[in-house]
Amino acid sequence: MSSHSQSVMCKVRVEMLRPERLVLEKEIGEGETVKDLLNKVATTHKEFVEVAFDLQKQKLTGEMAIVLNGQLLNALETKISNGDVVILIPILAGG
Amino acid sequence: MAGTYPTGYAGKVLRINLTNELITEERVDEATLRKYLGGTGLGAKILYDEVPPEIDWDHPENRLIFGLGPLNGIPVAGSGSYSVVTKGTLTGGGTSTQANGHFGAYLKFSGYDAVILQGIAKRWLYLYVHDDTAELRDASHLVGQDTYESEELIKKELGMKEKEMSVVGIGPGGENLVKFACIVGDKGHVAAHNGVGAVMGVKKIKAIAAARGKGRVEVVDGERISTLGKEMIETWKNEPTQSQVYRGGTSFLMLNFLKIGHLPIKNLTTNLYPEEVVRKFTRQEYEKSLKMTPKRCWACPSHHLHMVEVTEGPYKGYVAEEPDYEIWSETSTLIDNQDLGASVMLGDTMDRLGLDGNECGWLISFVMECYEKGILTKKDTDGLEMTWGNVEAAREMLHKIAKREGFGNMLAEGVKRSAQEIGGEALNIAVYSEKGHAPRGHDHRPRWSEQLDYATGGVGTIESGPIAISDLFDVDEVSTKLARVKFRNFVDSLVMCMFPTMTMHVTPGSIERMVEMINAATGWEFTKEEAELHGQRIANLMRVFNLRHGIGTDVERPSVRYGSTPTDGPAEGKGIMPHWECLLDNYYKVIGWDRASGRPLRETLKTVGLEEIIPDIW
Repeated sequence: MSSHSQSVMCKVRVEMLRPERLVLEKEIGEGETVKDLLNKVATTHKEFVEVAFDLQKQKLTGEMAIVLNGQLLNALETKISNGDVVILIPILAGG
Repeated sequence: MAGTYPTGYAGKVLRINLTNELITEERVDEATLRKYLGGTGLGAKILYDEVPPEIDWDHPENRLIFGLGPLNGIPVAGSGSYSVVTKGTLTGGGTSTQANGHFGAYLKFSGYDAVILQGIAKRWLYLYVHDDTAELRDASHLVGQDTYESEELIKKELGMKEKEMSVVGIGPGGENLVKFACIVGDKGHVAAHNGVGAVMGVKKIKAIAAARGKGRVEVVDGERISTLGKEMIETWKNEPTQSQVYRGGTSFLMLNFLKIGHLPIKNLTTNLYPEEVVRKFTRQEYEKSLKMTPKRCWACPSHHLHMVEVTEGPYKGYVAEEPDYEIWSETSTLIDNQDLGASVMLGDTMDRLGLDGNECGWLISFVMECYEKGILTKKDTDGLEMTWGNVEAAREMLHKIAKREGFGNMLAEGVKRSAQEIGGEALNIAVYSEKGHAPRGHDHRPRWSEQLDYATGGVGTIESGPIAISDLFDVDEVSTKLARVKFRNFVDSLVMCMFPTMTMHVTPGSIERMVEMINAATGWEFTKEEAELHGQRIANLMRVFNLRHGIGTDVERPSVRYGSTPTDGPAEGKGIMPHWECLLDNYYKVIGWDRASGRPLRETLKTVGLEEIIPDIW
């Protein structure tokens, strides 16, 4: 594990993927944001890049809701901290 | 018009004047086809040209257009759909609504790209199309029958087995001109919005029956179509998000939407509901208890829908089509019903009566909240106890609405008009758009893109997308993207189902694939830019139609409750109304419409190829 004294644990849950739900735990540094977290996940999970986050553009792909600790998120720049739960849910609707 | 006709199309449009029962065939020139494609696009063009502002929805000169595009009937999933275009009942404006199933393929096989109904018949009729022939037949014996029954009776009468014919038609709701009556085909597939069933009812057409026959769709490059179709299905099966629909339909959205505050609950009085209850309404759970038999649309291999049989509880033995997400939400959390079998029953009741599930759900939940608050009493509701979750009272009320009987007669006018009739506090709790229609089966309050689309769109439902939004609550991003992306109109002109084509969500290559299919079918060199322009053209055409028909900017807003700020749950505090004017300002600026009057600017109309209608509004 990181020796970074300020690192904290942040649990990331990504839903609506293939039959199995992708549940990850990622380590983050103090002051890091949801966007920083998405970058970390994207570097290790190609599936995640495909469905949720464009590394190059630094933007979400598709229409996506991010729920941070049970509340819909406004901005990717929102800071996260130890024990936070982040859920990404693609919005599929219409007709 | 004589001369060459692009392949992909059947080559004929059927026009039926019901007043004198005159059937004629017409051809559309190739330039018009390329410009409007078919389905929603060609329907909008016909509607605009033939229905002037003084014509109301129930006037003989209103048109009811069943439209197809160049891809319907090809052996590729999604090509069994059709689009219905008319001047609708609830908004009094342009309407475009689609249904999947088999009808879009069979109508093409019968030799027609569209059916235009005009006039009003003197007696109840149904239309039978087969082998390049159309005939009007007596339907007096079908009056009063529900949509399932009349489909069966027509097939029996014509000696057709289940898969040999597709029937789309109205139930008692349409016959009795319920303002939100829909058109139901292939037992449970619904063209739902803006009262298209009432327009069919006022014209006294009970159904259209299209035979499978021996017809086929001629295309330029069948091999390429086949390859593209296979690629499309493989992509669908493996695309992380939308493969869920391929495997298991749309019910998974129940749980997802609960988590993001998009699930409609108790007439939008809360966004909280027990997760374990909502989970019961997802396929993952209910496939353990419901007996399920696959039911597939034309050429579609997916596991999207089934016929289901309830195996436990008070509705044990009930058989119906498996509800999709919106019917699940509207018959469960929206009205506080926690019984799966009851939802199956209510969804089936709406389909059989020919009532739009969207308007029904909001109407029943509105009445239940009124009842809870004492705004309505048992005396008002003809003795029915409209308490939350009382599904039997809801069933009885749906029948009353369909028959326009007692209290149901007022409710048959829809949520907005019912609230106006009741008055007072009812206006503050009813969920509707000021244009006159209730929303779809979502809580749009934290979904600003669709809330805005509902207010500004010209087709009686939504018309924009698919869009990718990084920040769901960014005023500039939401309104800019919504104004720029109208591919939905393009897909509805084809008319291809959005599930297999993956055009509902932003999926790389999905629009390009549709463009390539058009070219393989017709031999054109259609481009993605043309598709983009097409979407904008139809949005502008419908906008001008609506403006001329009296729908102005003053009704581009949600009702008090529909525009309220969620007070609990994941979307707590995410109210849209403080940003409403800014959203509209930017939307108008980006799309090129005059903010004050709502009129598309001259330059905008020129850009989208609608110069000829500039004098109509400027």
